[in-house]
Amino acid sequence: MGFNLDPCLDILFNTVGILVVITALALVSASDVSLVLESLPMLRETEKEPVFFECARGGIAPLDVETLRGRLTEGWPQPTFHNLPKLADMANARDVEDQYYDCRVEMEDFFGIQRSLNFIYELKDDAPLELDASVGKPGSPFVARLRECDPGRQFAYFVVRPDGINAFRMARRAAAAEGFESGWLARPYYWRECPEWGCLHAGKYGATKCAECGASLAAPVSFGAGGVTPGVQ
Amino acid sequence: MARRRNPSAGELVSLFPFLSVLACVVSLLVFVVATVGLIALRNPEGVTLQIPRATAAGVEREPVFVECDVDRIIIYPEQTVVAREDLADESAAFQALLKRVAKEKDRRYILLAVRPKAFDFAQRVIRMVEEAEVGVGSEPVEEGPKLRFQVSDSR
Repeated sequence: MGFNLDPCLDILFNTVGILVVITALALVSASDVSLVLESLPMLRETEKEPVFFECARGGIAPLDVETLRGRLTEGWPQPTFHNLPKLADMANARDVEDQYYDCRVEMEDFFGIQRSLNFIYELKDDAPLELDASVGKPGSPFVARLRECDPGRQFAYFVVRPDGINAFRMARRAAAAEGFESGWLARPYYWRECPEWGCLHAGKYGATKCAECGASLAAPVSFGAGGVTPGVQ
Repeated sequence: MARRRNPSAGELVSLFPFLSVLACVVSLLVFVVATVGLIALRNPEGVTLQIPRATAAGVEREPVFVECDVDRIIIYPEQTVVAREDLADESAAFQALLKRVAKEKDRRYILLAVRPKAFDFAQRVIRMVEEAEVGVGSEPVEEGPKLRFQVSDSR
C-alpha cells in the first residue's frame, strides 16, 4: 500500500510560497532606510576645544594636531614675514609623523605682499584605521581616546571623506553616548574648483590635477589662514 | 506460464519528477528573492532623514531642506534645481530662498543634505548661507538613494 504524500507536499509548498512572499515584502520595505538624527543639526560656534578625527576609507583615525604641530614648530623663533620660508624648511627637515599621519608645512605667498603657513596632515596609506564596525564597541580606540578628554571643555570634530560617512555616523553616536558634542567638516579627496589663486577652474569630479593650470587638486587636512572655524551641530 | 498483471500497477503515476521540477523552481525563486533583497539592502531606494525640531535646550527651528549634489542643489519640497554656476545669481531660486529664510531666521534655518561628490561644493554653499546670516546645518548622505525628509517633534 503506497503512501500519498500530496497533502503534506501541498502544505510544504504553500508554507514556502508564503515565506517567499513575506521575505520579498520585508525586503522591499527594508530597502527604504531611515537616518534618525539625535539633535537639531544647526551649526553653532562653541568655546570648547576640538578633538580631531578623520573618517576615511571606511574607518576613523585620531588626528593629534597639538602634538604634531608642537614637534613641527619646536624651537621656532617668532615668525615674521621674512623668516617664514626658513621656518617651513626647518619644520619639513624634521620629517614629523606618527603612525597615522605624515606632516609638513607649506608656505603660501600672495604676490610677495602677504605670506602664511599651512600645516598639512596627510593620512598614511598604511594608517591602522579603526573600522566603522568596531567604533563605539567595547575596546574601541576611538572611545578610549575620547575618555582621555573632557566633554565639558572639548568636543569631537570629524573631518569626513566621501568614503568615511558610515564611520562618521558610528563615531558621532559613540561620542554622544560619551557625552561629547560634535561637529563635522566635509572634505573631498580632490578639489573640483582649483585652489590655485587666480585660477579657480572647476574641472571634472575626481580629477587629480587642474586641467587649466596643472596645479594639484589634492585636499589633505590643512590648518592655515582663511579656513573653516570648527563648530558643533 | 505468463504472470498475471496487476491491473493497478500500470495506472500508478509517479509524482517525483514533477516534484523535483517544482522543488527546483521554488529553490530558484528563493535564490532570486535573496539576491534581489541583498542588492536592495545595499542600494536602498530611498533615505528618510528624520530631524528633531528642537535642541536639548529647547531652541526650536524649522528646517528648509536643500540637497547638495555634484553640480547642483535641489530645494525641497518643490525640488527646485539650481545649477552650481547659478548659485550667486540674484534672480535664481537659491538667492530668493536665502532672502526668504533670512526674514524668519529666528524660526527657520537651512539644512543641507550633502552627497559625497559635493563635499567641496557644500563648503561654498555653507559659506553663502552664513554670509546671508541664516542658520545652517549639514548632514552627509550616500550617493544614489532618493531623499525624503521628516521633522519630528520629540527628541
